[in-house]
Amino acid sequence: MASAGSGDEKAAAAAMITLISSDNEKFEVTEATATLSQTIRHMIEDGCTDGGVPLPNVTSKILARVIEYCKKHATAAAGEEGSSSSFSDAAFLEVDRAFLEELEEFDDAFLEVDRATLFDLILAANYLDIKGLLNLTCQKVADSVKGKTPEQIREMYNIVNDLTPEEEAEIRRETQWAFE
Amino acid sequence: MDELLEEIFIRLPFDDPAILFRAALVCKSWRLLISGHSLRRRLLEFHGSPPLRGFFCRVSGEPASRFVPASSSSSLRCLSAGDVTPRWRPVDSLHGCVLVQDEGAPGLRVMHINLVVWNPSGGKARRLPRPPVFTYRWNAILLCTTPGCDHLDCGYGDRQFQVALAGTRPSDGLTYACVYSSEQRAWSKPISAHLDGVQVKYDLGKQELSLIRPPVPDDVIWHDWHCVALMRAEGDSLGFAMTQKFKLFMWSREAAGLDNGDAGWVQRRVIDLYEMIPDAWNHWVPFSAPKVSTVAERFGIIFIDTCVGLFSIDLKSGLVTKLLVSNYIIRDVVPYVSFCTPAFGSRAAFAGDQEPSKFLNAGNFI
Repeated sequence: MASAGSGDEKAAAAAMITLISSDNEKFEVTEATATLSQTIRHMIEDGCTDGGVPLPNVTSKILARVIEYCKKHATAAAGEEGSSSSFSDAAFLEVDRAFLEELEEFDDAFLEVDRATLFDLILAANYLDIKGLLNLTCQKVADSVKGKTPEQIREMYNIVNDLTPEEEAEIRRETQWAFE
Repeated sequence: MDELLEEIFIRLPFDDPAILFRAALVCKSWRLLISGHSLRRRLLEFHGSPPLRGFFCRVSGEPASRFVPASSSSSLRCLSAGDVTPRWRPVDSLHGCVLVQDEGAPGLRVMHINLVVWNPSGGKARRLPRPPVFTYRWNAILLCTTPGCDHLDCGYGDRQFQVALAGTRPSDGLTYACVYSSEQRAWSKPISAHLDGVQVKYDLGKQELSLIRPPVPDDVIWHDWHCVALMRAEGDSLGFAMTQKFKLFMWSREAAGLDNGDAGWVQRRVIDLYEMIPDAWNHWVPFSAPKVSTVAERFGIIFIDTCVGLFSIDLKSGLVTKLLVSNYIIRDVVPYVSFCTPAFGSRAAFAGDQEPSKFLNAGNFI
């Protein structure tokens, strides 16, 4: 946490940033939390965060979830940094593993959302450029697609099949080379 | 949005290409993205390099060459060049494309070199004209010459390639070499040299042939040594792998030694195969010692043929995998490396990542 960092880090962690959702709700977050987003990090670096950061593409509902994710992961990152200097290697590894396990549990619980929310989270992660969150959410969708037939995938994600029968036949023909 | 769909597609399970193919059947935009060039670039960025899907080989006594998938869980069917030619022999492979020798109709003994560059994805192939050299002791390799290509993903699209061929002509004992260029659609004028050896260096730039002397001590009995796979060792230097009885020796030669005959070989590793492949040791009979089949350099995997079958050794982890059980000699082992993303016929016209006219003119080209 901030207390384990150096003086500079302490100052940075203490600095607060205001994020403003598309429906005009304001969220106060620490700079350490906010800078998990590369987009916001660049805005901070450019000094254009005074008076809050408007995020016209993110609703308050989604922004709250994104902040929840960033807080947890920023804490984990700070904890790892802080622990490296004060523990022996073995103890450090132990702490490291505990962190990872806790994070994994958090991530699993975090992904327990409906599909619409999941897609909104992907869009937000992309817009805010939060690599970890984008990876997590995209992997969740990828996992849901594997093992499904094209019909099941369409049904799951409300996709209309706009392939002509000829195109479908062509794909099936072209893919016969590889599969039973 | 397309970008985000790609983010999802690149995270689909790597070892089962069937999933991507199924996803292409969902709708037009998915089909377009999955067969597009951009997805392959993203796959490369995400995964580093295409996976080793398996290998082609020929088992003595079997009528046809075959494909063996790297993992039994893979849905990849046994790829076969059967549509291209009824009898074929794998010669080389380069990221998704395979160089095969057309052995002609069953029952015929083909003396000529009839090479075909074949892309199993869609079964497209280009038959090369007959090279201006007559020999039946030869070898050939596939090279990518597409400008700016990083050779990680060159099995797709309108790429340029070369095939370098070297062989010894029985009538005069001379070693000949020539190069086929996909751009000129023709072989170069052959060059020749009188070389007394098996490993020949063909300098494509200088159009020069010279002999590479393997680092085998003069006092060993020749049939004790079973070479020999040339490979790229670390830092692009030349590597050599060979076995003597149940030991695998690996050598590399510094670039400085390349122009210097047999100088510059450094023994890098010796691996004891008794322990690595105990099965082969237990079933050993005279003249059946393990042999190096080939090396998949990018993966650090070496293929060893033994009296009980073909094995791979991961040089980094030391992991030994039994790939194929056979008491017969397994020849022409050619590893196959590819993302196996679909490349539907009309892709170029849709995806706009190539000039459609160029693509169509290429006809049956890869």
